[in-house]
Amino acid sequence: MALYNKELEKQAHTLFRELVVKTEEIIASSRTNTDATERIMRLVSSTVSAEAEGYMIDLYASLVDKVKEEEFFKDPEHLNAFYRLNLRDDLNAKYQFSIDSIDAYKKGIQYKEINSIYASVGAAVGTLAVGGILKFALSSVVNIPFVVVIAGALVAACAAYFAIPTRNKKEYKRAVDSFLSDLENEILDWFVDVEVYFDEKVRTLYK
Amino acid sequence: MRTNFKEIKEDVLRYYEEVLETARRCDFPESDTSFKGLKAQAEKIKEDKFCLLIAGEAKSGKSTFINAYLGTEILPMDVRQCTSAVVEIAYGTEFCLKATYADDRVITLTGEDAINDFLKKNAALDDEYRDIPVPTINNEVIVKYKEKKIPEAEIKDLLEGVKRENIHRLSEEEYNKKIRDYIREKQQHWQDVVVKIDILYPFEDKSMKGIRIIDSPGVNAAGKVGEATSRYIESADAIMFLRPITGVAIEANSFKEFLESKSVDRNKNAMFLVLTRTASESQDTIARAYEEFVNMFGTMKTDSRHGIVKEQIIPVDSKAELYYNRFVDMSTPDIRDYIKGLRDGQKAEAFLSLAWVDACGDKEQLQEELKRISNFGVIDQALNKFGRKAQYIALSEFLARILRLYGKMAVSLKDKIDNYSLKAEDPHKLAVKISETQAELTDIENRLNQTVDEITKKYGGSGNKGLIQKEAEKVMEEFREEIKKLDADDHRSIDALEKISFRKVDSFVEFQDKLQKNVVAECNDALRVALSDKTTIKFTTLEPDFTPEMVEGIKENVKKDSNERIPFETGLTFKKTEYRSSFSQKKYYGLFSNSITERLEGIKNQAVRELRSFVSHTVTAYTKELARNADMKREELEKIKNDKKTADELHELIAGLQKELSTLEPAQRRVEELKGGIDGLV
Repeated sequence: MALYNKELEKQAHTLFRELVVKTEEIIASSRTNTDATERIMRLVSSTVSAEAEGYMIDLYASLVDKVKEEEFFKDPEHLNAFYRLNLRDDLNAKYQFSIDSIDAYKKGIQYKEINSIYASVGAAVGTLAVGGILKFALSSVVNIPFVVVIAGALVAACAAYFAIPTRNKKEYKRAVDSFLSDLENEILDWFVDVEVYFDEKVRTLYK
Repeated sequence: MRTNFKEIKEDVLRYYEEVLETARRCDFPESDTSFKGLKAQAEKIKEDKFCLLIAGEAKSGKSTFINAYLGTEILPMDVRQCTSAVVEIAYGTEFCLKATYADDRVITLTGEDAINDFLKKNAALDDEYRDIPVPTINNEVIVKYKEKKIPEAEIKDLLEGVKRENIHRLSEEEYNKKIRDYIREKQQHWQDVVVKIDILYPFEDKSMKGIRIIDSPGVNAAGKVGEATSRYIESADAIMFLRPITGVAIEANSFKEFLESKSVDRNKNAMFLVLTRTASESQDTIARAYEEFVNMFGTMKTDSRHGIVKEQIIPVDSKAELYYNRFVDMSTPDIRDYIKGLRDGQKAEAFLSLAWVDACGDKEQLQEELKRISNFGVIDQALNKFGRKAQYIALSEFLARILRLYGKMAVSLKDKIDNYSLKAEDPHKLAVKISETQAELTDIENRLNQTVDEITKKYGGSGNKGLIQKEAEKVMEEFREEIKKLDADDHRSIDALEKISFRKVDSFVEFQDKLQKNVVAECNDALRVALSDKTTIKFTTLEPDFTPEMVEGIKENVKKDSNERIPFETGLTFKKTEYRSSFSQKKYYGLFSNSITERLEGIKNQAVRELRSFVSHTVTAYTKELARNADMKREELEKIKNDKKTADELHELIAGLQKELSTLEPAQRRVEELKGGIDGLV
């Protein structure tokens, strides 16, 4: 399903393009892939998690604007009912953007540690693919900080390269690009999920 | 004004239905005494019965009066306090008596002898107790307590109450002792006390057929009547209060107090003061006494229901009338023998002897004289007047009751209106309050629905749309600008860069702190709501992973990678280029600068993320607070709306009551007009 908010899609794409450029620089300037991975992990997880917060705010705002345009919600009673749904709070809770999730990040990301958390979640979900983990993490079943998911996913994607530091940078770069591309798609998918969830909730008011 | 009784009665009953309907509409309580009295009287009016109550103190000659009037000596007279029960005499096709005892037993007797015997036996008192007020004692304690022990306090009350009835002026001690003895003896046979006697008599006078005569037990010296009598007084249509013309001080309170007592809530038209035992008094005495009574009780004739008019004070002598009745069927010689017998037995009254002498043995003259003395002609006139106009009086009285009921209803309606008016708030004010509160609610909802979103977008928007990102980028930009000025080859640049970076990290900490405060300030300002004590905003302080140790670590790390291969030539002829590794300050600076910049980017992202999260959570807290305020406002609005609804209902109710009240006056006027017409006929 396509994202309703095209502007957000564009923004996300720009962000990931920048990340591709920045990761290229990191790979070029890193002595080893391990160094590169650590630096990329820090860059990607901090950038994406910071921006994702902003995207959620944008996404929510655009969805509210859309709701307000609907004839049904021109009626103040209906609009009030919509706000009574407290969807902002709902989304914050559901999509794990709680202040608490930052704690793990603040403690510093040790990728070995992250790798083990990620691997255990991966085992539970049955995949190490970033999309699966991300969806699982966002489903509110478990409370895994968003940054950990991203960092973990990256570690998992590049795991093969840690063991063989002699592999060439081109291969490594391809793996990172592929990870970023997956991540971009997954994040967009996740936004679609948010939209769908939001829309479903809004539809309940029509009943 | 109609003069046909039947039509007038129909009008009266129509007004009665009207007042009933009005009472029903006004929710007037059916338990109201006036209402109940009216209904009872309506039944009587429908049945055409006129109730005449004979009242008076003991020894006022009630029974003698009734006998004289009836022309038949039904009631015992040769004892002093004969009637201790209420005696009701009404027209019946056959002479019969029904007696009800204190234990609710009822016996019925027929035949003149049996009835006379019963009455004499029942009314006659032992000589021993003839100087104490037996009816009062019977009614106030014997019948009341039956077989139960009579409390001493009650007996003392009784003794106190009957002090004035010590007509034989016994010593107090003896009087009280007699009463106590009587109680002791009589209580053992309490069930034999007769409380009510009904007599049916075939009156010859047809005008009496629609009349009931109630002979009440005595009114005491203070004008008080027993409970049973009081009930009859309430329902009586006319009352004749008897008292001896002399012998009792005129100012004696009994009649005055009787007139003013609550139970004698009578129409003055129907109240008569009958002065008895006039025969033994001189014309002059009678005339003087009569005038005194007129002065005493006739003064309030026009403006008070307690006053009576001159024509309602009638001096009579029942004994003279009794003799008259006895002589009607006797021959002159029989009369002569009869009077002689009385004289011989020293039982002849002076007036009888005198009349007999004056009549010179002529029966007609004697009868004429006796009739003159008895003055029953006036009584007859009055009672016949009642006989003829009893119904009119009853109707007038009935209409008066209707008027009183209208009066009461008006008072009740006014009370209700006042009461509701006190309770009813002004709907207009409430309407204003509703619109004000609605506006306040809308304002809260606007803040809740609009302003919150605006603040969130303003601060938290992604990319450079939000202030957070924009400001954070500024700090980064400044950093970049500052380090651009550093010379990569200068070894001092490393320290300079380090210092700049620490300053920038501090800037981010301050930036986060400042923006958090700004967000809260803006929320306070724009949302105009104070967070309740329960809700607290969780401020976070940026804790960047950026320490001198870490920076040293970076330095060491990058230093390792800061060597450059520098080519140099060896050999003189065959030159050969070889490389040696040499530390490059420029490379060192470059790597260090990159690493620090990445770290700062991370810190910037951390600050941005925390701030965005902070914005989200802060507005959520404010949203909840606003929602609470909105709920409270909505409740308040709901309450005011309910108040208005109540006020509207009350005003509607008041309007209804006022409308009802406005119909009372014309209705009352119609009743008054009809009553005036009827009074003119009486």
